[in-house]
Amino acid sequence: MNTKKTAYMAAKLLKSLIGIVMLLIVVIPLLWLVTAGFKTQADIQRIPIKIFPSQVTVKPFIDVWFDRTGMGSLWFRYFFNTTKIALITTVFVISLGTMIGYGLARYKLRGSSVILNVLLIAQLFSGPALMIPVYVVISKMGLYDTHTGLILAYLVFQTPFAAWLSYSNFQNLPRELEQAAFLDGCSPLGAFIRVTLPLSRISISTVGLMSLLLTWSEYPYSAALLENQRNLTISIGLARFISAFNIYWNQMAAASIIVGLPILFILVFTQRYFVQGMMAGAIK
Amino acid sequence: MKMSKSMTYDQQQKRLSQIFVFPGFLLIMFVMIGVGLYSINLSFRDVELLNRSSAGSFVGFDTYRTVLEKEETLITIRNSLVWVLTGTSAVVLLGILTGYLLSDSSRIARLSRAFMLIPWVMPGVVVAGLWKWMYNTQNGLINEFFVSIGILDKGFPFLGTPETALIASSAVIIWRLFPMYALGISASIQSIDTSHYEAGRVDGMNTWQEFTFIILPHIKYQIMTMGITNLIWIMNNLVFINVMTKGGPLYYSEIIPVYMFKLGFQYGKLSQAAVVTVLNLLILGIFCTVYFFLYRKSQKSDQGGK
Repeated sequence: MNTKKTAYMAAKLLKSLIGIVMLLIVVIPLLWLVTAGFKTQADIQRIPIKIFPSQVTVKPFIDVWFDRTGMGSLWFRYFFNTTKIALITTVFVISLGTMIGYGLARYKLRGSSVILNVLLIAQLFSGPALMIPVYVVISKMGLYDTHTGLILAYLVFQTPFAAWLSYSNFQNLPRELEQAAFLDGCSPLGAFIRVTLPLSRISISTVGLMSLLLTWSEYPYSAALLENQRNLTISIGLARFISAFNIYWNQMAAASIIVGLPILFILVFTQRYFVQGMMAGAIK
Repeated sequence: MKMSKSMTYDQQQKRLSQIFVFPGFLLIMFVMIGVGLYSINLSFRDVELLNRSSAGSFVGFDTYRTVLEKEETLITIRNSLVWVLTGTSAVVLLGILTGYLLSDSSRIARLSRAFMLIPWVMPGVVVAGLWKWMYNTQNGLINEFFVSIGILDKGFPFLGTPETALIASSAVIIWRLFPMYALGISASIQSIDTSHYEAGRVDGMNTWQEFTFIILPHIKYQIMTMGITNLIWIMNNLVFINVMTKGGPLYYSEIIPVYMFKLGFQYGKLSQAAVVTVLNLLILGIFCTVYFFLYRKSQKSDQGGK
């Protein structure tokens, strides 16, 4: 009995130990990044490295925006471009995704299960796999190096997932409310706008935040479809900065924190849905 | 009276649904299939970046031959295999282990779960930049760590050495994906009915038996569907290699998406890049089919369990 208890305690200790190691593996790089943003250039270049800065400074954060020799000259531009592209994409993805999701959830159309399956598969192709043909087609349309072309690509690649997410949300919403609105004289469209949409605020915002997040940090298509310095997004600007200046790691860290903050903010609201979305099995 | 009204309601709703679904769906399909077919067309021609507005001339399988005869192609394929296999298996194994550890309700587990999503949602470029710096020989955290515990005498260029560049890069994508995988696993483990554990305890199961006979069967579809999703993500990753090594040194860390990007935009050989696109789509198609069947099966088993 006693040996059994020691074995149990040992197993428990081992579990906690491995758990803490895993947590450290995840957290240490993040802490390293966050602290680096507040270090002076001298501390960043010191060998051997200093874990704790001798002096805490916010200069890197100011340099990111204003330092003309680094990325400062264009950072405002990148930030503005990315915000604009992300907002427009999100509006379109929400509209299209919500409509498709609602239609599929409310009416068993001929072939709606086929459509759902096709959307599920389509979502897997959203990476850089189709980058080359999309680039050629966008060029032929005269949309190369324009934000319109990029937004178009995002719209097509993000909508399948958005539609899936809305579909599963609308399925949980009882139909009776819309029927009641209809009996009160609403058209189905009116019932959708006045009853369904207000009730689905949370799920619609989730779809929107997902789209914002994806667009905000997207890399392959902005690398393929944009060229002019003034048109670039934050991702590409940051990537170029990283390969051009190998020493301003504190500025890189500060820029990363600036880029990451909106995402952390979004994360606070959507954490639950992310895990659900990732576990495709949970979407029903 | 009521009957006829509810019928018209159904009909009207049906029309609304059709109006909602088809334009958007057809747009997506039109673009995706169109673009896919277009890459096949492109792969049988000789279009280059400089003459991209012309259609190029039809050259049959010539471009395929050119691409497949290149040494770079073969090395890229080998690299991709290594990248995908190491990446996916490490994500799955570490993910199951960590997910299991995170699934209890202790304070550490709850605190850890809060951090697990961050690597996954951080912009890829940020993660790549961070790790590029950590691998730095001069003032990188990783080298400093190895030197201080005595494994290395001085900083080792992990990303600049042919033998280690690919593995060192794959550590980064593993770091990004395994915590997310662990979250999925732990959520799945938490959904197991406690009565199963009680029954197990009555039978005198130890922790290991509990894991293999109760937990593992319950999460097996989760392991597979998330495994395939991660595999597809790893296979289709461009940003890490592009930012950290650019496929180098030479092409020792080049994987298919990076190769596609390089062929198309650096070498300017769009048709050759299209050949790689087509081959990549074929492989992707196989994995998607597997994913689809696993997904269907897991849905069925879920319904059967209820």
